[in-house]
Amino acid sequence: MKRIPLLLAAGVFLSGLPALTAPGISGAALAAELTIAISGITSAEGRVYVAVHHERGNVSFPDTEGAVAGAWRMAKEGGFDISFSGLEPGRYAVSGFHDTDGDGELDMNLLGIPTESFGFGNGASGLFGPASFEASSIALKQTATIRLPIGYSGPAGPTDRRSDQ
Amino acid sequence: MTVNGIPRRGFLAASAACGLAHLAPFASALATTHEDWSDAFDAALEGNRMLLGWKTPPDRLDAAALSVSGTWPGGLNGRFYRNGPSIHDRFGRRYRHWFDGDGMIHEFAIDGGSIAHRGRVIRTPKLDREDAAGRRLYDGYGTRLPDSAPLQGPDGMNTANISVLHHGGELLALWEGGSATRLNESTLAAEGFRSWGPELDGVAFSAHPKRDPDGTLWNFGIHLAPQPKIVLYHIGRGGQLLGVGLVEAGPLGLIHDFAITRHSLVFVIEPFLFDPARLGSASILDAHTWHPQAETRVLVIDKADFGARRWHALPSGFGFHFGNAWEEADGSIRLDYCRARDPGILTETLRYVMKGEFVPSSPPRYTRILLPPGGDGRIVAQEQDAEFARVAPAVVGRRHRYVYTLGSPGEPAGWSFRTVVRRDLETGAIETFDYGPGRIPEEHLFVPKPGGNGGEDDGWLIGTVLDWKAGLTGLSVFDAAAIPAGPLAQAWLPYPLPLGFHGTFVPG
Repeated sequence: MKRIPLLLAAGVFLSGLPALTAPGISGAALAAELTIAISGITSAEGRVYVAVHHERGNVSFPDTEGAVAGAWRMAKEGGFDISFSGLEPGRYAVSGFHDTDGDGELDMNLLGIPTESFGFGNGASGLFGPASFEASSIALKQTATIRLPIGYSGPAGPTDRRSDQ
Repeated sequence: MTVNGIPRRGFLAASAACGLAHLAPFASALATTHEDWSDAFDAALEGNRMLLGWKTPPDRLDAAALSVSGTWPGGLNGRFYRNGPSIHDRFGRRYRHWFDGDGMIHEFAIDGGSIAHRGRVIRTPKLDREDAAGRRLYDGYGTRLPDSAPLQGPDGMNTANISVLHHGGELLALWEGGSATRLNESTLAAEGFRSWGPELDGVAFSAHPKRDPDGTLWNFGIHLAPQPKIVLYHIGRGGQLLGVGLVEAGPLGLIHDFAITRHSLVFVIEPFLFDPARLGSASILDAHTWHPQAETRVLVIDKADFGARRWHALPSGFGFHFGNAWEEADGSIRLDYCRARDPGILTETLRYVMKGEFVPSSPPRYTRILLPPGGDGRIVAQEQDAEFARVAPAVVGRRHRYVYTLGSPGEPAGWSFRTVVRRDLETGAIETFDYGPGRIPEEHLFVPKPGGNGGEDDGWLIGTVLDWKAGLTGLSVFDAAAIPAGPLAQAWLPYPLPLGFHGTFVPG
């Protein structure tokens, strides 16, 4: 499993804002807004980090080196939304984790298995590793909301495979 | 079996009849792959009460004062704990392998000949989430659900169902693919995973730790993917971590047990190997491939320097449990192992028993192996069938004379244990007690007599037996030096327990 440090400097700077302008993307058609609907947060300890990947960078998903945007919020139980505006239309995958100790990193054990809760867009999962870009992604034209369950999302969570597309 | 009140087969037939014939290939695959085994098992149990050993018990069992026959030894006081897969069915779904059911901790509290039993399902996070969801959520070792939920790591499917360890003042239920689970000694309630250190959260901790005669504990864990690795643990008498190692040893598969000697840790890597590419729709078990033509690799690791290793080759075979190992003066290692010709017991017998079918397989035999200081290993002897081998605690990793196992009275057929056996490795003598038809013994442990001479046969043998004809489980105690005389005493529960795996005795 690739390391997912998910700490994006841009995300840290912009984290206080209700909606973020994605850094690193410029051009004519930056009209789209992606909302990430985070769920499954089991405590108010630490922070919740998310990262957004565009399809053109999907080779490295979920390595945040290839992310186009990211953010963190103080954790709170349950869930909340984070929106990113000014995105180029296209296909986006998201990932996130609950940084319960607040060190800015997804902690892992000796073998690289995360010891903090994590999740991928649409509740996607991988076998012995991260989910694929495709399964964790959504098409964005003007506005779209993608689910991002983090950790074990309670009784209904893991079986809830609804798509918000 | 019904789905929303509609019989499953009827539903599939109805789909085809409604012009959905193009779904038929999918539907028939669904029927053969995911048809639940509960009905088949229940029907088979009606005709074969031996299957009681694989029936799901209630979540909680209590019996205050067991009826005791014979004379319970006055010095044998303490708690005998056992664990094993127990919740084979829940929410109308039955697991497809014996290894998959949620664990249940059993405590036999023995005080002056008065014996009480408590059984508690081990409430792992996995079982809590399933109970909250009202359905099975996670795949088992040999079961792939059609609709399993994603995991955050191996502990997400941790059933804590293989063994129980009492070390450093803690009671732990052991699995082998992930963490140990802490148990409250007063209530037997599960209290979360045992962490050996921040870097070790969620790392596999096997169900066969070995307590060195110096009081420290050695254990290992196997991770099959994404890269196969063996984790080594050395734990102090107080439960503190003394050392950790990470070993790359090429392709790995199921490794259930290991052996220690005075200077070494010994791993037998049978050519029954995990291939992650096969995991698509297969269970972890079914993603293993048996390579009978390949050789078995034996890895010997120096306890004092995990980087110092030697390798030996052996002809292929398959086993779960070692009896013991020791080092000769010239550095040769003698290794005793319950070993079968192939993994059929795992892939066939212990799978289909969940459906109520007995599929014979190559039995594990008491196999004595010599690992010379250099070169190939050698199989010195292959003797009668034997499983659940145990030696006296004082000789773990040291030269032993006696080993205690289960066995069969006639021609063994995979899982047909009926006898308790003491083998004398010096004279070759084999002493046996036959529980008789209708009874299946489980692992029997050697317990040294308090104030005894510390000898390998100066103790008792204690273990459970399922009387499937009577529908009861009993606890037996033998004089270890007089096995053929039969139990000194037996205490009978008013109910049967499902057949389990391993236990431990805590004197007191």
